Amino acid sequence: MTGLFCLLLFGALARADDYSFEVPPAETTKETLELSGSLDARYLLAKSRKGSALYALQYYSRPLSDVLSSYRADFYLNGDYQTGDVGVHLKTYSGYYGSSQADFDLHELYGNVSISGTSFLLLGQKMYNWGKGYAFNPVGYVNPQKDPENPDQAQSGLLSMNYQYTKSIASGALDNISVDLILAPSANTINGKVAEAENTDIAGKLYLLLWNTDIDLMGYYSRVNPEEYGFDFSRNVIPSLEIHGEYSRFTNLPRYYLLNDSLRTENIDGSSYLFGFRWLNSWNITTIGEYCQNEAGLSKAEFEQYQDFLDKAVSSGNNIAVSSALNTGKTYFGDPNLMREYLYLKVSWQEPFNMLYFTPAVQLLYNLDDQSYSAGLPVSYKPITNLEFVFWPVVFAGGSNTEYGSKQYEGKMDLWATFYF
Amino acid sequence: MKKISWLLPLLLISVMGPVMAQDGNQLLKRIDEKLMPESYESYRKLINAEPNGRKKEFVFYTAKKGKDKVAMLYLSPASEKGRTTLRLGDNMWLYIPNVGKPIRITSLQSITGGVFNNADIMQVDYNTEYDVEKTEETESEYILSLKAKNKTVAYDKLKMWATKNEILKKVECYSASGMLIKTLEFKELKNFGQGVVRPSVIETHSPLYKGYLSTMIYSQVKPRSFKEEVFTMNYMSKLEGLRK
Repeated sequence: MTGLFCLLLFGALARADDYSFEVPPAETTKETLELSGSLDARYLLAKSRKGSALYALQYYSRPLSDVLSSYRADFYLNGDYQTGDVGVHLKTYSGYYGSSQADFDLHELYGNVSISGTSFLLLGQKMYNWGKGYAFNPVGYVNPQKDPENPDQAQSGLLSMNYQYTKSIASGALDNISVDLILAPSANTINGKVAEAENTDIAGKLYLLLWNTDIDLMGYYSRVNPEEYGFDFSRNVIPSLEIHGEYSRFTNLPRYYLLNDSLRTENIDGSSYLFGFRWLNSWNITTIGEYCQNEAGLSKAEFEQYQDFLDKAVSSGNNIAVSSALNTGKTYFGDPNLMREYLYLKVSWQEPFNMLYFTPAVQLLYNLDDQSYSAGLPVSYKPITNLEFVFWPVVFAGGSNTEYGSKQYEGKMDLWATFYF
Repeated sequence: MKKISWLLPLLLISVMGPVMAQDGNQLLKRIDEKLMPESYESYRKLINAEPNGRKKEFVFYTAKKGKDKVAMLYLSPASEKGRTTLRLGDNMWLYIPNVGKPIRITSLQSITGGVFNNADIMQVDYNTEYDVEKTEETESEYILSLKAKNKTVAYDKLKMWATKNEILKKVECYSASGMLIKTLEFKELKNFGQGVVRPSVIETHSPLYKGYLSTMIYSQVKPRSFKEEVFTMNYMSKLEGLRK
């Protein structure tokens, strides 16, 4: 009888335990700096493309085996101090390859203050992400450069002052309106510290939630950089289908290309745009598709000229020519989307066949100018709380004079484990 | 006279039908009001349990205003901390700090995985999304049949059980084809103070996820008024500032 009583009591207590939890104390958070972040342990295997000019330039006169490996730890540390009206936020990145090689980057360090509940001021280095596109953002005037192969990767922010005003209207077609005004000191500095005041850049964005559609109108004014203006939109047309688009117009944009092995520059006016969709089907498969066009990109013939320039530097056998070609490539042709027309497609299946916390995906980046592509198969698994494994093989394919067919690697296989804290 | 004898019931049905539906909608409105104050803040824990006994847990802070404005902040686990979601009627967004911008999501997706989808987690008042088609009554409870007002709603039909005190007990969710998608059971009536007495536990299971059980536990529900601007995209990255 006593045993039965104990069993019932234990059962009742266990049940009480199941249905109770401690609310994280806001008061404590108010007084302390809260730390969070993640540690990625990454192992990479890459199959070399020895016939590629980029490979030859990068590993010039170093006989290496066909498969290269890299092991590194990426450490992301975030600090947040938030009271009711004031917050200070910090995001850092450290990459550790070994005791002789470590990188450190301050992704964000900014303070924000709520002025009246409808307006905010943000001061410091902040990452902005303008635009509705996933892989590309023609209207991302204040964004860090995005890697279309991994668009969700954390990036370094912009040193700026940002004023935000938001008004909720909720009458008829227009629900919300907000204004963002950003002042960014010129990146052209003297001794890395002082810049000319007249070279301060100004960016502005007007957001409207109009007829259940997100609409942004944005502009960027600068004496140093090209001026740009454009718009974007996003809307759920049915519960399972979202469509989005961006259009940007630029003036006086410097465009670089090679002609007869010499670097040429021209300043052009033009536009770039994208349209895309995200669709969730009844199998819980999400498909993201995007088409992007950029008038300032290289044409197929211009890209071939660039490849020819690199090939000649390799075959010259001259160290100075090799070093100069590498520098030219990094400085003027380092953009992850060098050319004009791209397609992006990502199909991910969340928890297939009831396999919880397991998400396989297929990702394709297709260059429509030269029919080259990169295709990946990222697979993510979160077996226990705060631990994620990612296995991500990628192949780069195309003719020898194409963007992806001329990459220094034929393919790579990334395996990493992320620990969150 | 013969004509009148069959016309009369028809007339009665045509007059009484809308009246009954109106009464049903009034009853649904009262059930909603008993479930939640019009504007409130709450802390919830969501537990996804797998057939092998493994569990995954999330803790949320939620702010709600009016019938259809919900903002939610993930407090744990660390891998999701700082994420926020916003719902304005049919519109839903997800903000991930690393990505740095809100992206549109749909009511049918599930950010947390498990049986609950976004519409379950960011539930708005039932009377905002559904009309009562039929009301039945037994000695101890009301049984309501609900139909979605439009096609943007996650479930086309609901069957709802409530006590005679108008407190929700159970909801069955059906697709347009009549297939049972999931069942929500409301348990453990609790007095949260300031006049809020409601079930503190919602258990959800689905024939589509055999053996899986998702449970939502309310720890605090407190009436609180918020500025309209809290429920905007610009505020999504600043929700932590509301907790005081």
